[in-house]
Amino acid sequence: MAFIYGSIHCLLKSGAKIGSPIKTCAVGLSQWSPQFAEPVLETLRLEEMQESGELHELAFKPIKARQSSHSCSLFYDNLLNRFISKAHLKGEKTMMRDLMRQAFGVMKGIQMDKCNAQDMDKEHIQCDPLVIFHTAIANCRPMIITRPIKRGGATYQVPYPLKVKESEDMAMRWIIHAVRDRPKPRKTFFPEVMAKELIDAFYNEGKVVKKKQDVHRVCDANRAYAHYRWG
Amino acid sequence: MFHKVLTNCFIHSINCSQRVHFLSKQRLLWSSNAGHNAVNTVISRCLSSTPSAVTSHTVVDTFRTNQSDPRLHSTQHLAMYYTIPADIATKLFVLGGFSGQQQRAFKTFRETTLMVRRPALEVMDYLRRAHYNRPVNRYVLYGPIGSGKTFTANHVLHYGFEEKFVLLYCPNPTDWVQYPEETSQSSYKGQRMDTPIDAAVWLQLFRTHNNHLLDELDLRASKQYVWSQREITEPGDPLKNILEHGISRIKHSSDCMAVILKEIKEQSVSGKYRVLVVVDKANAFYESSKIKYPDRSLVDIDNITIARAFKKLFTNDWTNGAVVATVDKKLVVPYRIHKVSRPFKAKAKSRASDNWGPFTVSHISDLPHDLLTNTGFKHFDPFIPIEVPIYDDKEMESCLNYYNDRKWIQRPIAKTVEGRNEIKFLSAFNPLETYEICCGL
Repeated sequence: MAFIYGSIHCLLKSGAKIGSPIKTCAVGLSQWSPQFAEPVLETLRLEEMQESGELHELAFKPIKARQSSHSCSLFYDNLLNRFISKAHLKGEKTMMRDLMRQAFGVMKGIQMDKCNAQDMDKEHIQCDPLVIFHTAIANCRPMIITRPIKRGGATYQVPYPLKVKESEDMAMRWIIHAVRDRPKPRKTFFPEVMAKELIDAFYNEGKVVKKKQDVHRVCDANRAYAHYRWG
Repeated sequence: MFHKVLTNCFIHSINCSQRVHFLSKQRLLWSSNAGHNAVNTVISRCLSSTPSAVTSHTVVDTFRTNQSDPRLHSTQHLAMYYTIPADIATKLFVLGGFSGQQQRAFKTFRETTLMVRRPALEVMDYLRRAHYNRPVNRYVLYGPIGSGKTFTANHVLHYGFEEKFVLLYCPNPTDWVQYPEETSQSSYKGQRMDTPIDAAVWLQLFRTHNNHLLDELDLRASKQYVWSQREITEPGDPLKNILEHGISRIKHSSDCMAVILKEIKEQSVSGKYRVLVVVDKANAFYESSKIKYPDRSLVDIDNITIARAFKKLFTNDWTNGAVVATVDKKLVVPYRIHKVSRPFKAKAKSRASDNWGPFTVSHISDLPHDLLTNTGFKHFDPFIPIEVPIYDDKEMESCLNYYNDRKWIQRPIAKTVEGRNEIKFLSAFNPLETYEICCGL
């Protein structure tokens, strides 16, 4: 029992600093012992790694197994994969992957219609669906949120900074809920609704960005309680 | 004369130090019958004397041709995209013919283009060479899902339009047989079900396709048709009257449509005109319908007026016509387009519409014999089966070049050689899959 408590304590202490990318597993609880290295998914990077000598280091290390949803496809994107993992229902990831593909197609259609409408500013309209997706999530990411802290019988909403992964997870969750939250029977389907939400977020408009701004506003209002983070 | 100079360049590999005027790319391509590579060496050699022109010539433009008349399409246009002029495209495909996704794609690309492929050229060649005084030929297009059967049929439709065939086009028989807008009991025969709105819509389509032809040919009714006490068509009245009557009086539109189809079929013996019947998903006429009588029993296809009338065109008891039909696997079972990860058991009974599932059609064959049921096969036999295969290397390259040109492929990594190889691998050269994969890129 003490050992388990100890390792959880270690986990919390050894969490990465704010703003830096976090490893997918904690050292204390991973099925892999610490010697195991992450697999290299990008096949195009292998040549660079050969030249820089990284490959030589990896040659004698045991390597973790690749997760089924991580592929070495050139079109694989980590953030999109995390989004699909969050958005799918009943284990039907293949369906969600296909729906996101259709949503990207719809997004391209909307943006290219804008391009075609105004011939002058053709360069300024972003039509790359993955860039729109990344920017949308970046725009929806809250930087600080409030967490309830009990001090002296009262519960205060204390502003806390968020780690990158946590804030990205939150943004993705908000987008997914915004898309699902429409009246049944559903007349519009997932790809079109998702495309509209992502494009709105890309332009810093829409429900999800508004929610982020509301959260920031609440944090700002409660900044007097920020010292409660440390007791 | 310049064409001959260039073909000589190609055949004898003369170094083009002769003075060669700058010609348009398309004329260069038409003059030589061989593949890209030879032509490109010709281009690079001939234009080495004009450095400014070299930069504007690129390999990728070999996927397009200027020839928008399908009558002039030949093997030298294989794997090239041709544009259907916008006014003709709206005329031909106003009712349908392309799925919603495809229409959206055409809107994004700002043009209606089709790839010139071998099956379409084959059908057009047969249509050119057929003896029209003999019973009609039936051409059945078959192939895997997403291989381009509908697009081939539409290419042939455009050809028929240019060649001044009378066009009888049914883009979606499932709209008549499974999901009609409205059904009503027929006044002509009690057992029959009319589909007034669908018939009126089809009559409008018929009018859009064939208006000028009807004026020229001046077809007349051969017998009396009594629509109601006051509305009677006498023998010798122009067919246009029946057409207009059907469109304005929706109650009689199914019967008007049946009459028009019957008249066109009977009068084709005269040889004044040729008929081209283009049907997508022809096996829908031989599957069970989803329309029900008031007492909840299923209606037979032969009891749906317009479907019955259209089916009569498939038999070969008439002349001066041609039937181009597509068979579609997706109609046989309740087919769900979305891909699902969970494994599904393939059921042995493939024609039961009561079963919920299997949602896959991989256990069903693509061949017309298996998709047209026994009755269908008896109607169609003997027919000319034409396989519509998946893309070959040249067509695949052409497709990806076209998507690049239309800016459909946006991600930089998908434009590299490795990216394109991966698209080819993932799609397995299937045209529909290529489009769907490129949707996400």
